[in-house]
Amino acid sequence: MPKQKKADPIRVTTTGLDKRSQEVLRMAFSSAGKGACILVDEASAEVGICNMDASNARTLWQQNSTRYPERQMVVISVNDPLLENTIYVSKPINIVLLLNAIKQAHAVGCINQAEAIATGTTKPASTQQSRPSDNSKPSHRRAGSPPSSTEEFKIPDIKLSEIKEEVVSYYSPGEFLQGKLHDAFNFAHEKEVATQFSIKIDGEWKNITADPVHKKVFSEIEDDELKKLCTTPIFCIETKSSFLSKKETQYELYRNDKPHSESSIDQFLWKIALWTSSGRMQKGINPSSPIQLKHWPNLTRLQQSPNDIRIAALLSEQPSAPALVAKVLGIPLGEVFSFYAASHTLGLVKSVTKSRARPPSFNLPQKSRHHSLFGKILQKISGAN
Amino acid sequence: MSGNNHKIIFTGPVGAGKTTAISAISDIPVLKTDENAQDMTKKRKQTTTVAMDYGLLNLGDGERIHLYGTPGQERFDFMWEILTQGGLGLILLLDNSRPDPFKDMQFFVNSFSDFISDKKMVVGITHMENNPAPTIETYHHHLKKHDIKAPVLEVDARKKEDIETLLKVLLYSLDPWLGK
Repeated sequence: MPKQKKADPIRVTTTGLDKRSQEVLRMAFSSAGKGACILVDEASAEVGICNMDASNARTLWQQNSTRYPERQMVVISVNDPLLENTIYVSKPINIVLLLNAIKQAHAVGCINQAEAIATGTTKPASTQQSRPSDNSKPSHRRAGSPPSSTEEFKIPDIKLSEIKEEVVSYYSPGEFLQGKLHDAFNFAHEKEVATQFSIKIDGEWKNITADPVHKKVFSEIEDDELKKLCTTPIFCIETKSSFLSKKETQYELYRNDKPHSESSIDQFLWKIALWTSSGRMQKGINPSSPIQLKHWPNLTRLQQSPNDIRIAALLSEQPSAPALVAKVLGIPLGEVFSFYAASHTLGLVKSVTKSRARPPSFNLPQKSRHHSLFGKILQKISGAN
Repeated sequence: MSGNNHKIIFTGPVGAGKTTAISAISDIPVLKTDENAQDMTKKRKQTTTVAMDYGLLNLGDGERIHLYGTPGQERFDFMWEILTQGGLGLILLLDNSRPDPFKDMQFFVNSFSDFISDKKMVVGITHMENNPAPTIETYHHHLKKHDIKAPVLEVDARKKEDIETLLKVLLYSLDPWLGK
């Protein structure tokens, strides 16, 4: 059987981008993207990028969704257009985030396809993706791609674990601010002394002070700035840390001469982990290996992402692999990774040996007989009514 | 229009914030059945709920969810069985400023054990802003002793968004397929 080549780039097409922007993207794919993605024609693409700021963007997006219903879409825009089943990347575009989004979209597509094949629910290729016949080029296919209408339907040699591992973006918290902050806070906690972590921003030192006794963090750095710093490699940031005496702690923590925000240590570490992950998975964690929540995060006091409650509900119920959680809930893989990163930093998540984790399809809680009613309550309290 | 009598039940000790929580999300002014509190209860709250609190979520098309708050005093617990009939889930509010909130938790978990085993429960801890201990972690530890795995969240019963989150957590716990 043909074996999937690891080096195959993800085939990407664009909608609503002018020629110049496409060229810029092509260059970015080959330089920063290291050839992980290539721009191709509309018919042979696996992932689409739609510029929602184009004048007729909505119409183009609609046409695309109709013609290629199975294709995963990344939408780029100044404001989130809130389109279902898409991954949003805000402008100005950060190429790393865009590449991550494309990889996530591709992963979701592969998983969808593999599971459809595994469960025998794959639609005939002719209806799955209606391709213009003049653009159908079987030679562009790779293992796992939907066969064209003229090809005999065969189950490709796909192993879910391989797909997931291959397309996921990894990061190591230790290579970012998160690792340094974590180490400093841990040390402060062990010694029960406040620690002051300073970061040089535009020539000025700004402080993050953690008080382990009262479990508080005081930060002079605004969230927008901090968020940017979280995805900047640590070697690009000038930092220093020191421990404070009791007297210094009182002064540093409660002086009012510098604007600062106050949060609990858990709140602070949670958001730092979310921002650092940005949809990436921590190195050393296999997305196809099951994980389980030890207990629910205190979500009323932590920065929430749209699907955190859903992910927590599933992971507290049973061990599941992140890739399958994303599939089961129909959400981007990156959201599960970010949730994992944040939960992991607070020690709320554990790995489970595969033998203990049954496939979700077998033991997922059944849809409640009140499903429709619950949906209405949810709509009501989410302000939809 | 649905003829079903669906309820969400709020329970917990006196002063935990049941009436306030229902008021935060109810579409109607909450019907309270307070009277002057007697004996020990008076130390915590001047009035207490003697029969039940009642609020309502209008879902449109005549469909409604009844929000019931159980009486705060233990001597009225005969009402609870009646209240839980038709209940979708339980929201247990515990007051972190009380002398022994774990004893409270044990009491309510035992009282509603049949309902909890059949449905779902979420736990909201109130008054944590001035009483950070015991921690959420400790509540989980105590629940584990009862072999119960339930979400435990810090809430301010006066904050609508906190009670809404608590309710969302209950709904997704009951049906993880929601939103799919």
